Amino acid sequence: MQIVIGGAYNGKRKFVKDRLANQLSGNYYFFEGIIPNETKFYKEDVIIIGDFEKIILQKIHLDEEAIAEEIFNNLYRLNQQVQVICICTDIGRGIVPLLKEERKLRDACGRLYQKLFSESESVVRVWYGIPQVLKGGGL
Amino acid sequence: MDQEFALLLFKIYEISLEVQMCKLVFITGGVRSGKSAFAECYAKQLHQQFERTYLYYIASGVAMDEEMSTRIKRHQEDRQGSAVVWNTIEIQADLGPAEAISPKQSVILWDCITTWLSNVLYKTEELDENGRMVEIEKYLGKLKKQLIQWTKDGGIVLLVSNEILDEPNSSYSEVNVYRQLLGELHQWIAHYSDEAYEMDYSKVKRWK
Repeated sequence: MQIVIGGAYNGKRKFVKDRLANQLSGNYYFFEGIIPNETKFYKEDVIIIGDFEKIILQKIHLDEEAIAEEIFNNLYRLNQQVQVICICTDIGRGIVPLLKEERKLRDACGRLYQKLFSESESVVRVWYGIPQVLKGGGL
Repeated sequence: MDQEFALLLFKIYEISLEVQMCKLVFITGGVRSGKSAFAECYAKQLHQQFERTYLYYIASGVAMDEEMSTRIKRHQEDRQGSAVVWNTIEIQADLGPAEAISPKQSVILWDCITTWLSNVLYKTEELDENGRMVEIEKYLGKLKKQLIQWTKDGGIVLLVSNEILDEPNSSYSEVNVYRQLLGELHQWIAHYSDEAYEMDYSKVKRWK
């Protein structure tokens, strides 16, 4: 599993597309706000998943740890079938949100990203289109 | 952050050791991260190093309330206290006043792009949605053209902007429009800049 993290509108998806265009033998598919069913893909395909905020909001009734765990397990399973790249939008560096649900979203996001960072083979931060490898060999 | 501390940062990060001329420098950071002090310090250094005649300061802040007046005043006092003379040019949205600058003899510091973009949004507020986006794109096009022209003509340009994209999407659509426009503009600037720095309170991260 590979991770691309950065603030909103920083060019994360463009970065992934540019990288994959030069090196890919299979196809790549973007999914926003959902984790797809694994049976539909070939092993050399790449699945790119973004909008984890939306995925988390569907489980917001669970506690923070359970949300992160569940989503992580789904991704882990999927990654055993195909290559998974997660697009993580960093939402944890602003002001503490006023609404309880928004705070929970932000906290759960942080929990999930921590798990993803520690379990994935590479992590790249993208800052306005410029990549920095935080872990592993990059994309 | 005071000037002394900014100078210390230069030493630590060996920025001053780089003698090659850079044309476009991009500096971002959160609120009160010291990005203005860092940018002013760097502008003065480039002014001296490349023996430029003029040191321009482009201000985009509009004093609409007391808090903003105080903020502007503090920035002005910081510049007055320095040994070099700053020529201040006010650009709120229209780039007309920029014509006064002869780039070849100048170092140009623009603080900040974030404020300029919000002025553009205010100025176009009355238009209908489509007409507004067209108008905003026109402003952005003119800005990009001006920046490229300056660097082509030998100008040394430093652009300061804010980091506001590391928090959840706002529940106000206007704010999200602003965030998207700013993010895309930052991507453009980062692409065209020769040096790019992100200030994170006590540390400077050089991206380019």
